[in-house]
Amino acid sequence: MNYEENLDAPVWDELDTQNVKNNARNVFNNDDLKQDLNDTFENLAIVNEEEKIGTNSDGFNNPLSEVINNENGLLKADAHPWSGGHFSDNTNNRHLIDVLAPEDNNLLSGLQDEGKNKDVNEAIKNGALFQNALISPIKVDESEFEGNSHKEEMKFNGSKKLNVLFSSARLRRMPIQNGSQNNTTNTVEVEHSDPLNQFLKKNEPESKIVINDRTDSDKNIQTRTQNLVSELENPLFNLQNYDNDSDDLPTSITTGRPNTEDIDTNSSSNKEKSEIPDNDVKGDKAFPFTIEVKDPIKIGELTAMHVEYSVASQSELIKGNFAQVNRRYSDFRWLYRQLQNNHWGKIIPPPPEKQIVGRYKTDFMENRRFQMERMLNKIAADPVLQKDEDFLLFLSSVDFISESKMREQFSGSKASNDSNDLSEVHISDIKLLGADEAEIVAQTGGLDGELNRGFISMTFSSQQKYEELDEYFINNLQMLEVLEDQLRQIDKSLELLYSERNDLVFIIQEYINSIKKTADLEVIKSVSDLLLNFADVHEKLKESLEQVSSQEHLTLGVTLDEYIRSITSVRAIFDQRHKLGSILLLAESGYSKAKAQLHKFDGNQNARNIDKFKNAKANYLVTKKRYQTIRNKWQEVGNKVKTEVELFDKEKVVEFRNAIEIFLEASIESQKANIDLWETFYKNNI
Amino acid sequence: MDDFDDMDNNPFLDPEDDSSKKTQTVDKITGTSSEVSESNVSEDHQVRNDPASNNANANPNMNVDNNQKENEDEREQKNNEGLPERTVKKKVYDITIKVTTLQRAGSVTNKKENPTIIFDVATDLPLFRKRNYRNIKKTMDEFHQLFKYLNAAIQESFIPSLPSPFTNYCINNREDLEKTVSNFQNWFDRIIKDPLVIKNEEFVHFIECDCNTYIPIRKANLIASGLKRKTLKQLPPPYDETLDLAAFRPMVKDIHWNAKEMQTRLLNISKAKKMLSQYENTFGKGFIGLSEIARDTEYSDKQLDKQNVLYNHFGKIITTVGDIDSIIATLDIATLYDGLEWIVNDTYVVKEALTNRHLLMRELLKAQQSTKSKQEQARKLRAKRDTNPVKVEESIQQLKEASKLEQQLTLKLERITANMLIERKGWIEWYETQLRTSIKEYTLRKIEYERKKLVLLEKVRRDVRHADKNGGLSRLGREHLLNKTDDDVKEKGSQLADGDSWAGDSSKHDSKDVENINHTEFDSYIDTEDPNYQKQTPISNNKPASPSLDPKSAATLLGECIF
Repeated sequence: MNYEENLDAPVWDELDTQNVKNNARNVFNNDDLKQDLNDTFENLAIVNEEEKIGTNSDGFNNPLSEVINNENGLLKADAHPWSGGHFSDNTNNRHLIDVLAPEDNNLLSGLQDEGKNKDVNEAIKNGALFQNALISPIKVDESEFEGNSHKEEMKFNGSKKLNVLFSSARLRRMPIQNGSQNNTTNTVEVEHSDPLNQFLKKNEPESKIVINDRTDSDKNIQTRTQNLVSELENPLFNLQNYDNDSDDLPTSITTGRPNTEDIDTNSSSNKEKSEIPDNDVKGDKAFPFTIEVKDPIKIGELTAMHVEYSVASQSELIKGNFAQVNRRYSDFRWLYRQLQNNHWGKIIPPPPEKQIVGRYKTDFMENRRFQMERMLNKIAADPVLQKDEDFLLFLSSVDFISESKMREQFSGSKASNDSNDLSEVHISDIKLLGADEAEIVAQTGGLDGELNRGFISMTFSSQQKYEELDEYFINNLQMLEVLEDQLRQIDKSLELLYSERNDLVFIIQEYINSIKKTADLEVIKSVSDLLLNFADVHEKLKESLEQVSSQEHLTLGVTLDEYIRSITSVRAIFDQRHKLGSILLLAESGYSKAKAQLHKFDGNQNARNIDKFKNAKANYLVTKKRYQTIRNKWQEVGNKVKTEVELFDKEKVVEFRNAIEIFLEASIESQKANIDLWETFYKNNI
Repeated sequence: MDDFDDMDNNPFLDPEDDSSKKTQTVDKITGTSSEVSESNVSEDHQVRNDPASNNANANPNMNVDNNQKENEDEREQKNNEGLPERTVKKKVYDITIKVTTLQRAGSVTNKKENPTIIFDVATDLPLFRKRNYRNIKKTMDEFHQLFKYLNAAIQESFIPSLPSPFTNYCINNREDLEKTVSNFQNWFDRIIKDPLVIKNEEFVHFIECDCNTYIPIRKANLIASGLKRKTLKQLPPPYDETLDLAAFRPMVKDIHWNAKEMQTRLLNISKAKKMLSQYENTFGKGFIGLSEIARDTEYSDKQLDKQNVLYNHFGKIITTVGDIDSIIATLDIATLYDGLEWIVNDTYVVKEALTNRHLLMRELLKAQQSTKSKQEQARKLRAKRDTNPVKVEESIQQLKEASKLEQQLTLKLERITANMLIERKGWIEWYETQLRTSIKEYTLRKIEYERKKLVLLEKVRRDVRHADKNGGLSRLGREHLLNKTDDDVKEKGSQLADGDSWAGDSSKHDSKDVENINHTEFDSYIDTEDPNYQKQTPISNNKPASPSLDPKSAATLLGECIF
């Protein structure tokens, strides 16, 4: 089993945490519980109850998830060797819970009280409360990077928020330190608290059979598998839980949503979970950010010339509350790509488009500066994105060039050599499969290469083309494209309007001059006066025209431009889904190949074939696991896309409407001014 | 004054009666400049009206204490000595011309360039056979012929240039008809003010001849034309002791060029505005397209529906605003450009008339020179003892002729100068009125259409505000009124019969004006909903369109609004 060493990377828990986090976000996004959480916990508890009900029932109802359940049942035994290290976490948690238990009340109140919260965090830090992948969506998500980059952690040490990060970082280390701890008690608790797990136990016999020969302790396996299975289950039924309501009452492991009611009634494990809302609330609450992009300066000469903008930001999230750094355009693109990679299925505020000609004109630089400032502010306004490590790195890193390279390498985002088209995305193998497995894949050419050649390690069959089956995506993508075209057309005509207006201003100036010249002839005083006043009116009209023009450019123009770029960003998440789909297809064919091969050996197991069988089995397991992972990601991204697109629609529509309104009111006002101007002229002169 | 007379003791000179000679020359001058018959008329005039005019001149002299004015009048009187027509202060003859309508017929170019102008004439001038003429029809070509003749024949006056036969409103519409008719009326009014013109036989002939048959009977040629004129124009203008006229020509020339420049600029503006309106149209259509896209998707969300209605309406409004801008651009041209056009044409005529005067002055200088040389010759001959009396006779004859020509030219120039001084004043007055009317027309049209534009923009405001529940930015700070997204509350425009809501001054508009402003040519376009659209979104139309609230609910609504 070569894979064992290579693959003991945290594939499962990564996947899971991603899901959990996702779910949590979805829940938050879709219900207005966010504030409620902050305000009244009790209310939330009730609502949550319902939430969970929906969640779980869906899980049962969903045939797809059931299928996967079964598959998972098969898998879980195989899976444990790689994730084995993590089970020690549970024990650790147990220990922690005990430590934390007395703080129960504090925790609650701590939700409103930042100071107390800090205490909690302190505790967490000491005890590594959040090690368990099941628990904290956000932290674990961060921990995902931890394995890749220790450097950053050091930097963020200082701030309160970063404590959390730091503690989560231990998650990965702990397994090494106390890998062999027994976690039976915890498991029992989980079993008790989670009906879902009980349900899943039905699968146990099967899994035991499979696993038997490789496990050290039956009990351990059971709990692990249960955990694993439950984790695996999570995204599948969790994401669809908004539609249905039913009466099942599961605990909230899978919802990724705090079960606050449990705090009082349930065992300590639930208290542990009750930590989640705390962090989630914090996660969803946007910290105030002030970001300024200013002072574009040309740097370098001729060929190496580029423009650097100084980015000054102020926020609690930044170490020392304030940071000012210099960034160039490509860095903003890097940030976009990096965020895109970190948050699949999320619409990232896009940077301005590339432009080669006229980069050093002040107009253009100012425009770009403005656009980038808006981009940063939009990111900062997003409760999830604003806490992204890369974003913070971008805002505060002094040695950005090497650090960004490092981050890029670790996340496999290929952020710096991005495609010109903002809507084209790169799927990071690391993000998809986990660091270690990605390495294997990379040895065979990486995902990109495989997308072109097919997964060599997984499949030999010819490529199938991925076809989107979900009508939602087909329709929406189509609509987006039409919408983009239409918006581009509007933008173009607005641009023309703008330039034509400027021409007109110029011509009016000429006209004014010629009127004045005629007035200067002084044929008769009265005529001269008339003409001078006439010229005056035109002068004022010209000014108002200029004003309207630039105003229109600033409101409608900018909004439109941003709308269009955001649509590219939206298309990017569709592309993500599509790419994942393609990869899924490859993985699927690889998986079925491996399955077929395994079956072949399954039939005649003799001594001669035992090695081959083993190989085939290993291959089968690997491909299957990959397939599962990818499938989950694919689904998860798909669902996320849906919610994101819906949000996007609403938000954009409001934004656009506001721009229209400003434009309209401004036009009306200037129109009134014009009328007044003419009437005054008429009254006074004619 | 008379070189001929001053010549020292010419033994051969017949003593001549001054006054009789003068009449004779006047006779001759008028004969050459206009027609023989007319000169009689003018002579009659002079005879008949001289005392009257003297009285008229004397009376103001007595009454007005202002010395300057006295001097002016005296000078005027002196200047007008050679101008019997002008000395008539009391209008003896009366002529009224009323342009009734105009006809455009035939080919397209004929329609445009050569309309038939129909007018009535009432007069008591003895030259006319009848007192009243009804429905006289003259084509533009005939007008051109008349103008050409008059311009050459009556060098004393600035003959008003003909108005353009069409306007930039484009032919075949009411505005164009009205404007062209009024332009011709204006022209006739100007032309019959000039006594030199109405007493011209050719003018009488123009009125009396049948439709489409007028051709000038007499020929009148300019002093110099063609290449000669061009060459002569290159020479520096001769010294002009009448400073007013000396300064007048360059001024008129400047007016000409400046007006032309203004025209060009105006045309450019108009073109730019038309382009602008085109872009505005596409811009608006983009929004309409946007609404269509959004409609095609399966959003049944009411908010999005309203959004679509908004896009649709906004698009339509923008498109219409574009159309209005295009109209304004046309109106700019039709009012001010056309007004300037006439000024440009007229200044050209005036300038050429002044050039003619310059040419005449040059000719006079030549004549004076030749008289001098002839005189010198005669003196030389006389000084010699052994001269042949025949030769002497001959040279004296030549001298006589030369001095006669000089006399004639002098008188003619005097006459022209005197008349032009009068005409100059009139012309400047006309220039002012013309410019003022054009600008006035321009301004009025502007105001009208800018107001219409405002009404249009205000129309869509409601849609913008009601596009979602939040009511847009106009609700900022008043969010507690969220529930009042009452579609029924109609927002009034800001331009009402009792003044503009935004302006402090409460000058009332004529309710007819308001009515006019509130309706544009495009109302039908804006108000028609896309029929498909209505079908697909019944939700937005489900609400009964009852603009009037019942009193009770109105009261509750009002009660809740506490600011």
